[in-house]
Amino acid sequence: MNEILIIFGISILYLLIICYFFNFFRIFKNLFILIVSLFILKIGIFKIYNFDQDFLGYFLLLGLFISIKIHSYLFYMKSPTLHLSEIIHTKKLINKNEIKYFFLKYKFIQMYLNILIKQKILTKKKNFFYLEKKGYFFYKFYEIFFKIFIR
Amino acid sequence: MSGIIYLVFLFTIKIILIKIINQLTKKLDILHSYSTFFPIIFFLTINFFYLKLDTTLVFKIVIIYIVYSYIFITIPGGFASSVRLKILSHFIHKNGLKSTDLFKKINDEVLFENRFKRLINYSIIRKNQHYFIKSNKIKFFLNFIKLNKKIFNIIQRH
Repeated sequence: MNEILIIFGISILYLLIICYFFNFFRIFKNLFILIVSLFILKIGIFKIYNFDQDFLGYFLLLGLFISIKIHSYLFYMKSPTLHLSEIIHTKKLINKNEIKYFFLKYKFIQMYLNILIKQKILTKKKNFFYLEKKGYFFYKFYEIFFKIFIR
Repeated sequence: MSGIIYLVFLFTIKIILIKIINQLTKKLDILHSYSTFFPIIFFLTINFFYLKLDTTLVFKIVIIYIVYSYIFITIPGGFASSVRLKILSHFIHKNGLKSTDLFKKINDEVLFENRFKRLINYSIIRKNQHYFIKSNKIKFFLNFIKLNKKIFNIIQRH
């Protein structure tokens, strides 16, 4: 049980670090170095306490790192469904048009397009958008996984 | 090695359950919650009566399964709900798309209608005076996210 507590402790340290240096660790290279460093820390702590270095421990730690990173998107990204839910929950509006008015104040599609361009998944030339090879594989990766595991 | 075998077993049951539930309902929250918790209950029951594994190992297996189930919601599960992937779907097998054509197919109004319809089907009803969130799950999730953002801001400030 102590091994699990150490793994959770390292995960909390990871969470605190990525929250404190949020913009720095949005860059994948920096995040990768942090993850490798924390794995080395885990190996070191386990060696000191003579705990078994089993595969499940590494698998759990990696899973916690990935989940925390996914969860951290909530800190700066707005989801359309949650934004809509928030409007309905806080504003107690009478009709759909009023709800729509508040929803449309936030430009989701433009935000996502900007992210896709920044990530070089799409490019924009004059008034045309083009899908990059990276974007094609990004889309296909999710489509294939969806078809295999869900549909 | 045995821990990995049990994890493979759990995820196999999960995938089978997802495919069955997906035929019965398109509600993603039911899909993910039932496919996560039923295998755990099944595994714990089998462990209690037959396997009798070490408690630490059982705990590790269950935690790993829950953590990777959460990742599963985003990676294959994200295809159904992701706006980015929806945008990209309009580009597949096309050699570029004019911005006006793209915004005709997908824009904030279309997004609003889609999400509003989803919430109508899942969790909000119209009462006499105003719309409100019926689902306690969503209310809880909204408060949970608010709390997360507060903690994040506190960490950032210090």
